[in-house]
Amino acid sequence: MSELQSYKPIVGISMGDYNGIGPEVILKALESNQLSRQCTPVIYGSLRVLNKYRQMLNMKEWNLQAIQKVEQANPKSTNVITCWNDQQTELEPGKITPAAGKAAFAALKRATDDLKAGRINALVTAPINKDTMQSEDFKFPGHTEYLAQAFGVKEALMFMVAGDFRVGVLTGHIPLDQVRAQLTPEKLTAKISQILHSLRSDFGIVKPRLAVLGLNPHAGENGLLGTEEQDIISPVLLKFREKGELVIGPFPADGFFAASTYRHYDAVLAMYHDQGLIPFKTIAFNSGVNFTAGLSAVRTSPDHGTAYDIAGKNSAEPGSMLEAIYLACDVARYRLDTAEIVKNALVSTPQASESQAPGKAQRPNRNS
Amino acid sequence: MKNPRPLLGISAGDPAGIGPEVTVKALALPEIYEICRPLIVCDAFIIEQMTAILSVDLKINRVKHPQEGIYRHGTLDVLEMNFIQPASFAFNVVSAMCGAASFAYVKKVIELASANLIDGTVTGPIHKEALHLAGYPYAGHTEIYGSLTNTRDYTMMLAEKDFRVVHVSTHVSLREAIERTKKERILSVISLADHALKTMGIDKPRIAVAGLNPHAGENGLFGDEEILEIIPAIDAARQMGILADGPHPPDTIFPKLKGGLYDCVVCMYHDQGHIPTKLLGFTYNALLDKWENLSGVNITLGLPIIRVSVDHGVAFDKGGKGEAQPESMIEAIQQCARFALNNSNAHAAETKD
Repeated sequence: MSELQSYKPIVGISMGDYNGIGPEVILKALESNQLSRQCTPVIYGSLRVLNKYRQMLNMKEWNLQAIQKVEQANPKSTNVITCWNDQQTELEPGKITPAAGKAAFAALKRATDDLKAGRINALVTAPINKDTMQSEDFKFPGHTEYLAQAFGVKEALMFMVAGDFRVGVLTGHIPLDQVRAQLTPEKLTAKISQILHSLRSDFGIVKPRLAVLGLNPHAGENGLLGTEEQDIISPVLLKFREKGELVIGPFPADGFFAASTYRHYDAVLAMYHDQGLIPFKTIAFNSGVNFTAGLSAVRTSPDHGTAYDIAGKNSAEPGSMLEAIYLACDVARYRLDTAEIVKNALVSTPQASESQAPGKAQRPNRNS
Repeated sequence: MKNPRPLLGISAGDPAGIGPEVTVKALALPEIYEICRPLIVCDAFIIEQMTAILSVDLKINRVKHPQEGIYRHGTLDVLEMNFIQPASFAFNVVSAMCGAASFAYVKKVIELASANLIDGTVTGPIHKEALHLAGYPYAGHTEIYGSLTNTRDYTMMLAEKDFRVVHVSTHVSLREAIERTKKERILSVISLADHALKTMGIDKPRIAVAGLNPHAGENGLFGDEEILEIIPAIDAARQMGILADGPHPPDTIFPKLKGGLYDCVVCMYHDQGHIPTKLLGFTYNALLDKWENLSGVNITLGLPIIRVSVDHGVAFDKGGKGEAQPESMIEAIQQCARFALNNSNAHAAETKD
């Protein structure tokens, strides 16, 4: 077995809002330490809360391991770090409470600190309530923006992944009427570069194919329904193609997904949140994962919210959480792999003499 | 009056595309004649040529007036139009001639329906550029119908079996779509949808209204159109006794519609409704390189006449090849017949069978 296959990442999982379905899907995904061959899981949250859910879910045979800090994590069990004083914490599944928001932030903060310090190899975040999370320390529309700041990145990329179907969005959690102002050649160029880089280093795709959607209906229909395609998107795509990158578009968003054109690409870049998320959730319901590209560390999350309406009813499906943990492990491995390849490369760039003499390069083929 | 079959005018669409083909294929089915009396509005030459290409044994009955139709399976009743010169006709080509023809067919069915000579209209696909070349600067069928029937408040419903969406705006830039997200318009689209669903036979339609912004604005955190325009429209609709609710996050409402929790979703802009509906209605079989199950339809609500359309375009790579799938045309005819039958204004309905 190679070093790569045996590599077992330490995956931190932040518990999210404890009155939502976060704790339930985490416990269902990790039940009986079933992922202990893939990774060493460390839950950031509260042992008291998780034990209450464990009883509610009838998982009495399986015990969680309480640890004080991540260095104590046991690779054979499911580790829990309690991130706030939980003596008085009472569960109210389905209720929106300020206490749950504060607790969710405490868990996220502790997990982010460990991720930044390299003490965990990847972070999986369970859903939070964006309203109750807001405080002096957390003034962000979501996890992605918080982590971007924590890692000193101007902008991270929200990348939705379901198997080989990957959707990135140019703009995320902003009002729709601000999307046009953010659609600039600079930002589009930066996002495309970010996606291409992520496809190469996080997913191991050597020659990525990227499709870009138009902003307007029918991709503007030659200027009839909007001019952003002609003025901004097409020129940027052309520049990438001139550099030899397979960046194609702009495609009309409705026909693009209907005709399954997305299957011919490694990723799709949508211009706004719902243009990417509507088709993604329609195609990949319950198996989608949100991956944050552009950070120096690995972070994924399930693509569902707190789902207060079904919290505490033992009816939440852990599919998306499981996929999020698997993807976190995969990307952590790919990154190690890419780093190894770069480190061990004998020749990193083609020699001038070779590229000028194509006949020479063909010789090994003829002989074989 | 036994089983009255409504009389439907079918404009065949751009002759160079797949419209005439899917029309002939649909009318080759005996069951179509059990639910309606179809009248094709097209150059007879085009239809004749199509029966030859498809080698179907259907007679052509050229008529000058809807009353002259036979409306029995085995005969295609064609209301004669003369726009195509056979010598200069070619499939899969954008031309002013075909643009003028396709506009004339649409105009004819609208006139017939407005004069109560037919009960409903079904439209085949037209090509916008051809239309513009011919001097008709319309964005599409919906706009032609709005203009020729002097209707201001209409909306487009896409329907794929029980999956239905209506649009607050359609063929406008995203910028303009945001500007058109206004309480009055949203309310009018909700009530148009409610009325249409009742006409389809749904007693108490359940209508979900989507938000405009991501996560429906998350209580004003990113975008306030939900608070300022959409919620007041929903409240007003509920006061009118309509079972409307929302605004729902746009990315999670469609699985609920698909699961049967609602009868229709009110969408704020073109792609919001078109992306999920087309995803479910059209499937491309990459293995066979073929489209399958093209069965979605497009219904214009709010018009004084009934109009249902196929959900696909002219397919200018398939014209004249005999490979086009007629499912959407069949569904459009069935929906139109159902509408016409339930419509209290039905007038030309058959009095004897």
